[in-house]
Amino acid sequence: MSTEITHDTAHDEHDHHGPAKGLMRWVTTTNHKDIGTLYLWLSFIMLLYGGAMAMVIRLELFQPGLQFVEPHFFNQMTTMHGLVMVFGAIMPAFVGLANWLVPMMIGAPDMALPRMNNWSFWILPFAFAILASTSFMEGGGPAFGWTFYAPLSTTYGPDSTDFFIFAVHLMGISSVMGSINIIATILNMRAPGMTLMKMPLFVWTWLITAYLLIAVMPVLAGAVTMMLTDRHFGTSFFDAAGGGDPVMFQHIFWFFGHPEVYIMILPAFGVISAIVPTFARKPLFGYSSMVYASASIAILSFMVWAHHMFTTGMPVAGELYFMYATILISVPTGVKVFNWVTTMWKGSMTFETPMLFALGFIVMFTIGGFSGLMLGVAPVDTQYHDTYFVVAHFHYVLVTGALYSIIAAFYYWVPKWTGHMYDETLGKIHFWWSTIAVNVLFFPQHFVGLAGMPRRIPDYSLQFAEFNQISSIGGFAFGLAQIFFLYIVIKTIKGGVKATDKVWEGATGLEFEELPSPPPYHSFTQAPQVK
Amino acid sequence: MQQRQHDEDYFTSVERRRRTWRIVVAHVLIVVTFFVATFLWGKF
Amino acid sequence: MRFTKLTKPGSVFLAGLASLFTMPAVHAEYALNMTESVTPIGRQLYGLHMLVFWICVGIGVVVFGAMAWSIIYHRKSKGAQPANFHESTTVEIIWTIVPLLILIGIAIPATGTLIDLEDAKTDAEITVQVTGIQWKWKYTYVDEDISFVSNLAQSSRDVMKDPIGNENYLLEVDEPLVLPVNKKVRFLFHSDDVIHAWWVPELAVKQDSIPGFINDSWALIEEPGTYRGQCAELCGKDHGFMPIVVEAVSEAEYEQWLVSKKEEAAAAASAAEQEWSMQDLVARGEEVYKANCSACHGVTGAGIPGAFPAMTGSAIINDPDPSAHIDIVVNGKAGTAMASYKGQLNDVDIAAVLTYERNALGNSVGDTIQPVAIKNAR
Repeated sequence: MSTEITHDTAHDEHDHHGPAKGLMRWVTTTNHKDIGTLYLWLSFIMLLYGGAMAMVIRLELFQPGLQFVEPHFFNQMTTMHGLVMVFGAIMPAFVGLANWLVPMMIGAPDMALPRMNNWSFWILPFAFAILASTSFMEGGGPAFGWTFYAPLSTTYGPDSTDFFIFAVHLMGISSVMGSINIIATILNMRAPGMTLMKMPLFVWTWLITAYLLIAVMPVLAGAVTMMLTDRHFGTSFFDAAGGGDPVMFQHIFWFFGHPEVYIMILPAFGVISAIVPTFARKPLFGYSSMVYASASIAILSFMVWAHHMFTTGMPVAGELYFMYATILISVPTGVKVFNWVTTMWKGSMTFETPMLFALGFIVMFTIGGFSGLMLGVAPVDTQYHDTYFVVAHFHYVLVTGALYSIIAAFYYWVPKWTGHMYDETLGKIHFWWSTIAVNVLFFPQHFVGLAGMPRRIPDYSLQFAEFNQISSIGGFAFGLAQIFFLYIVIKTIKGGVKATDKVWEGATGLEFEELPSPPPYHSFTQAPQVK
Repeated sequence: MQQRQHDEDYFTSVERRRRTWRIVVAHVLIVVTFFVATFLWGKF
Repeated sequence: MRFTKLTKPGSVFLAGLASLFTMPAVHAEYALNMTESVTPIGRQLYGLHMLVFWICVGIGVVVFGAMAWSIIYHRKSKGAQPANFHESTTVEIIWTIVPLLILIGIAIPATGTLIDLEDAKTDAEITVQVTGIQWKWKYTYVDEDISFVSNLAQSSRDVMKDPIGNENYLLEVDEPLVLPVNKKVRFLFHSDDVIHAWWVPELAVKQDSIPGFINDSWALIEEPGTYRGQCAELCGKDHGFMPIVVEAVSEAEYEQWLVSKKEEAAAAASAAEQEWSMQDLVARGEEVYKANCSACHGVTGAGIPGAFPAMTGSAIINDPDPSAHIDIVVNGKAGTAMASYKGQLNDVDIAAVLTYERNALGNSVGDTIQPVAIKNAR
């Protein structure tokens, strides 16, 4: 019995070691691709769940008057829609993409902590089951907005608030474990030669995002824990009657909440930075400035939180500081947009579906950025604050920003993942349908917001009727477009034209250059040499 | 035997595993610090 | 009332026809831009808003223009060959510095405006305390000993199923805030329960009203008129139903209004001394209940299980000793959504609503609560 033989046997076993069969494969898997797939499906289901609630909202707002739902139920819809979309749809989708892509991009066989990876995922279905179950409880689910300001969520919250708190804790634990895993993978599992400044931008932006997550998720956990003790154990963190401070809640919440919006957009920047060069057939312009811009955005994101609170009566000095810091963020964000545009400049561009979604992202995210700059100007923000102008702003950056980048990433990498090309015609229909619908949906919301319509109201005065009707029609069309997307996803997984290993003419990176389509169950059992 | 085989791998060397654990511990400490700091901020 | 004899399909048809005719009138507003203000600071805000807007348009034209140019001319189908440049420190510095300069250009006027906006104290001539209460506003004229609560008008409540044609739907109140023009009015905001935000776009005032804290803001209204707004911070179930109406009148009219308001208060005080009949109390109590209690406890007294207790069969109400019942309405219940009404309703109104609750909504205790009892309980 020589070492030689053992080696060969072990090696053979390794190569033929595929996924287990049946349902247990998914429950017990420690494979980054399987877990990535699970995350992506969870996020799709949550997108449809949160989307269904958005449809209820748009239905009630289709015309003035209370026709379909009661105000209390309406508030539950806006709250759950926000929570589900932020924590259920956007964040898990990016974690799913990270799981699939980070090991392949840095030349690793899997994530650094595969068993914890399994746990990070499987916490989430339970967290969302708990959150969703609150809707059926006496008194209804959370109805205080996804920002759950005290004291509306503490003294005045429904009984189900405790379940909401528990669900948020679970999501936080999942996020923190996922982030530490990603950090450990990126810092410690890179193939020889893969220096930090050679990493694809998606890996870079995720590394930065993971640091944002481990810094702010515990703050969110702290906030909900204080809520819990305020509700049941006699503390008064946020209760003015007991010497606490309701505004303190907002400071703590937004210390989490503002980096959170960058958590949802930084990986999107990484996706766009991968797609644009491929279809412009030209290297990304200003790679290192992109890395520095991402890091600056992340650092600044910790210093601007109170721009969500310009009407809470902060001291003027505080308002001035938060205004300056906030508008300063548009500098590194602008650098990113300029770099993408310059990457296209004098390229040789083609317009496959991923590129269409990426271009849609750049245009519409920038529109969201413009309204963001307007909102950052403190004195005028007092008039925009808590209106539909804000709703329009964050849906431009989250739907046509974050969500568009996720859809773009799907079209871009799905041929690599499955070995099948998606149907290009259907993809293009999906893009144009979504893009027209989403603008019909959200653009008029700028107008009603400026004209004076507050957000989170179940009914409105008659002067807002026309634009709300238009917006609702756009909403229904956008919802349908994503059902169509579901069809495209299933169709692509089931079959399609065989994808080449490189997939795209201009594709670069280890996942396209070193791995077949689809890649083996374990990507790189032998570390590739990165030149 | 297999264990020894793994030890020689680029990705599964003992040194690399130790480093993974050091990274995990360091980052868990960051998480705990921020969690506790939140309560201090809330004027516990 | 003349229509009551119409058959149901007939009245539905008529209502449909009426809405068809009124629709063009109310359906003609496609306001695109920010509401123009009637205060000097509001006009400053509008100017700043337009400045930043046009700067964004300018940047957009450049960025999207460059993008469109590449998309049109640098496409593979036109035979474009890719260049290979991918770095230029000079360019990166330029597009860091230029936006910075633009931002400074925005920050300078914004700073001045913000400082003006936040200076509510200097030269304020009238001070009005605004209290947010789920889901109504209470106005107290600090120097005048006048205080009243402003609720959503019944005319809006009645048509929620089909409000088409209802003028100022959801923007009408039972008692508007009356202010004189050309005087600097300082508002002090606070809340009795959760966080609300008092917002009147034409006055360019939006400020949170927060329990336990006092915020301020100000307005100098230059044109007489009626200005409407709404609560802007989610404050629970009826957040969408607590409008604000400000009547800006000439100084003479304002003085007159102050006098009539004080007479009203005196009349109410003397009414509280009288003995009231059960019938009068129940009749008045029903109105008070609808405006103040029904949002949580339901028009029929059923409440919302798990959130708001039912009135029907309530142990507190049906206790022959009314002291607990009086106490919970007068003082509220700490740690719950049940507010204290001693600052919102006068003695007669509280007595009336208590009597109503005890003898309607499925309860029949059979006694009356007199205003004097409330006065003693305060």
